Amino acid sequence: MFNRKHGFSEAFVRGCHSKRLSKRDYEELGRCDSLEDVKTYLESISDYSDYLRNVQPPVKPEDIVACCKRRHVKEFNTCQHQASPPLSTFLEYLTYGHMIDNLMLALNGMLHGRSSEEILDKCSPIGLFDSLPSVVISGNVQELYRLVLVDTPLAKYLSGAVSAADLDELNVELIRNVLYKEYLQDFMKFCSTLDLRTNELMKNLLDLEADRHAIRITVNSFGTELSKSVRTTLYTNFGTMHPDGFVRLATCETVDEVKQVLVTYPGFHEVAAKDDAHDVDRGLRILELESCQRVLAEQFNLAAFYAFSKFQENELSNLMWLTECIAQRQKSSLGEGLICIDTHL
Amino acid sequence: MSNQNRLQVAPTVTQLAVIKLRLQGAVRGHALLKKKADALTLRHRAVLKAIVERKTTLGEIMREAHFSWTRARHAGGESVKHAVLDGVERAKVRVRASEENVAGVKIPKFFLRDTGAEQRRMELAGLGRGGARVREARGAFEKAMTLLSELASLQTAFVTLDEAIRTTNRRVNALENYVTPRLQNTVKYILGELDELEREEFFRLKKVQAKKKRDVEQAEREVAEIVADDEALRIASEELRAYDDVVRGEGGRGAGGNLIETEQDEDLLF
Repeated sequence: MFNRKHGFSEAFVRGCHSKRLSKRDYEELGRCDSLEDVKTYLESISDYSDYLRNVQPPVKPEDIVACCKRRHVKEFNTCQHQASPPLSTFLEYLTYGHMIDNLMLALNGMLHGRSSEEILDKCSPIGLFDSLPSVVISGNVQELYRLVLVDTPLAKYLSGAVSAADLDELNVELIRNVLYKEYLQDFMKFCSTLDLRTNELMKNLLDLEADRHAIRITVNSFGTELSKSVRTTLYTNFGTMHPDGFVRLATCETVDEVKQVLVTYPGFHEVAAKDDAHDVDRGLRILELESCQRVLAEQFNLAAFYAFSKFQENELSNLMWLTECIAQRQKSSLGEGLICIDTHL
Repeated sequence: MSNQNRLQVAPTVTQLAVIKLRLQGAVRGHALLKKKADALTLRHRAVLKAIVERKTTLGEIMREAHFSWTRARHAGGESVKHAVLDGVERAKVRVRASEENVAGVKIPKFFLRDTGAEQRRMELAGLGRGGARVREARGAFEKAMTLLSELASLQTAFVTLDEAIRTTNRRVNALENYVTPRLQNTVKYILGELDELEREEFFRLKKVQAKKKRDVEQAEREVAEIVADDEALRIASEELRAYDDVVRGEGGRGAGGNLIETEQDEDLLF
């Protein structure tokens, strides 16, 4: 049943996934001394050669990252074009995250009076929607909502979360996070309509994502003027730590306190044991990717697509880290940012 | 040569005083400028040392700062970059320039001034992802910026001082090798001329004196001559008379008679 509808897409995704850079590739890349070497190595892996061919020396980190991004976008788009419901809806949900980023970009641009081309340049191609350029033209929130966003899937998040008063400049970041929260909750709701196995797997993944979201907001809001009550409103209404863990997170004031909260949860025990504050973030990402890895081990469910997109993101950020490290001659810190989960089981 | 290397002045005593005054000024100026050059050089060396020191640390710190920004981008994804870029309203720090006086040379000095612009939107940049890293990067860049402004002050100071030292040294050398010798030569020349004049004057006086003496002598001689002439005339006339007397026969006095004392002479009776 699943195979008849989504078999091809799944096979495609797995095919793409098997061509992800492996741990060995990263090790090889880590030995490169210049970006030209990186380029040569990536070209030798057949998938990248198409994208890297046009890169002229001197190679800049952005070039390589852009190539990787183009490749991901292409993979994703191919997948999306093949998809039929419910996979197509599922994939659309995956784009909403990028859409939120794009919308925020446009909002910021609007507040600064930028031109729409300039903004579209910066937008992620996965999360483009038709009315995005017109965000810039709209003057205030009501108009924005009425004219621009009402047709987009984001409308239902926005209506609940934002009032006109919120659109002063401080709140752009807040809106982003509120939207993200709403998005996660909606995604969760959508997943419960899918088949049982997908639902189960997605619940795990989204729970983790919700926890990450909450923890990151907590850690990043230290030392800012974000009040605790506002912080609470940014937490999702589900997650492994929901509800009492979130309540406790809301009162945290230092990273150590956050760790104390995390220690009580078996899943996060290891993460909390790390010393550095930033290791928490890294630990969470590793956790996420590991569970994605587990998801990919199973077949016949849609969660694999989610996992796939997460691995894409990870590859992008790994490549970015790697190229920047090489460009800035900071290879000693290479291990700090790279997260290699061996994709080939 | 002496004509080339001295001022064209009339060799008078007044000029001599003026030139001497100038020479004194030049010497004093030379000493002062020399001192100034020394002070500047001292400062110059100190600045150079500081620059070298700053530059070595700057490389490190800038690398650190850039890398911390990379960390922020890594943690926050690309969106955090735009959030940060759009989050800037007003510059948080501005560079202000003031002046410092080193031995009369005005050296521009830069320092950072916190404008106190509230970065309200920046506060929350990367709230969902990488906010802490962004703040770290901000701290790192602030540190780098302080160092940069210091380096900028030092660098401009270096250039300004260099220029000033060169000018001062040029002046010192000019005073030492050109102005002072010239003035000295002039003084020498004037003194020489004055001496010459004096000698000339003396000689002239002597000449005049000699001439006067000669004149006096001449006059005396003339007077004597006149007197002698008169005498001769008188003698002649006396003799004439005597001859007359003789002619008239009244005296057998021959020529051996006292011709001079004719008056008292008794007539000679033959």
